[in-house]
Amino acid sequence: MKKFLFISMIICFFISGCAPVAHHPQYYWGNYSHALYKNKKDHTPESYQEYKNALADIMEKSKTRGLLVPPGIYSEYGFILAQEGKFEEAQGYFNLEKEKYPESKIFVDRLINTLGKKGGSL
Amino acid sequence: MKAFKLASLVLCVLLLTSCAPKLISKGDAYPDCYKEVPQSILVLPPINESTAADAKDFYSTTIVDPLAFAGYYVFPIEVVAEILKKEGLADTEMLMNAPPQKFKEYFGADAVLYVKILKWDTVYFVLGGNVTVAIDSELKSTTTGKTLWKYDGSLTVDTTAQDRNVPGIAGLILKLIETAAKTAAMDYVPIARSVNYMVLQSMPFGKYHKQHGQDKGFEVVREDKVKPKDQKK
Repeated sequence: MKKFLFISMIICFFISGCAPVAHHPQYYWGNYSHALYKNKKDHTPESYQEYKNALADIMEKSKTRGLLVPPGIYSEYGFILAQEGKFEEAQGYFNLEKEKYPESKIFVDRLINTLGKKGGSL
Repeated sequence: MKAFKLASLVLCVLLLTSCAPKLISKGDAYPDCYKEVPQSILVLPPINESTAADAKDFYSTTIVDPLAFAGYYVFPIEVVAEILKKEGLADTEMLMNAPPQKFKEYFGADAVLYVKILKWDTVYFVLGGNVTVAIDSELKSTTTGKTLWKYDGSLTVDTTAQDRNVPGIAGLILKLIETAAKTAAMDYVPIARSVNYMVLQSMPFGKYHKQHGQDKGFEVVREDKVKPKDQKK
């Protein structure tokens, strides 16, 4: 009997003329995408915690590696804190977002304003 | 035999269509993007034209990091989604019809990214299967309303099982079962992320990218993807 070996996965690139995909590791994203996906899928207290931990992990590891925290992460974490009723703590993160990414100012100011008026909820 | 011939013909066509098109430079493809140099991008909830109801929710977990790697400030998608919901704008159709300028006013975004999910599918055929994700995306200026960048892409992962050392009908059944299991377990999310990376290769690099301002001459844009042809000014 003959043994056939087949490549089971064939990935076809239909775009970009088969050029390789370039990655530029200027950010550390940790488990972000997976944790967020899982939380959207499962909606359990565990998945929520995992998602929150992923955000904290990104901020921590970025710092130790001397990298800029990826865009949006500070505000996403701050938003979670605000919804948990920790508005004061949340504001610290919102300010960090503005400081590191000046482009976010209008957005973050509006967020702080809206959340502040309603005690942490939108 | 006939099927084999047909399959090889299809494969040839696919290979030709994937590699043959003329590549043009980013500068020629997206002159308006180099003129305006947007720094921040607001990603709107995608329009889902696939048959999978959950594609919309899951897709949004795959776009932020590729876009950030391209050098842009990306507004936090989760927070933006909540705000839009509270404003009664969760309906994608409504967002599509809103003038892009509104997003400058409200969020301070330089550009808005519209994504259409064309396919988020699992396909079974007699002795195999595959999973496909296809998207179409467009970046519009919130200052002029012009299209700054657009591209589309799709990725198919073959989930056909390997041939085992089992003869006859038993081997065939085993293969069918394995294909089904592999196809069902195939996660769309990494495929969607790969599609995003592929598509975003053609986007001019933003200010947080090391090669920002130096990529105008990169010939990585398939000419046929940029329609109608941008006229050089």
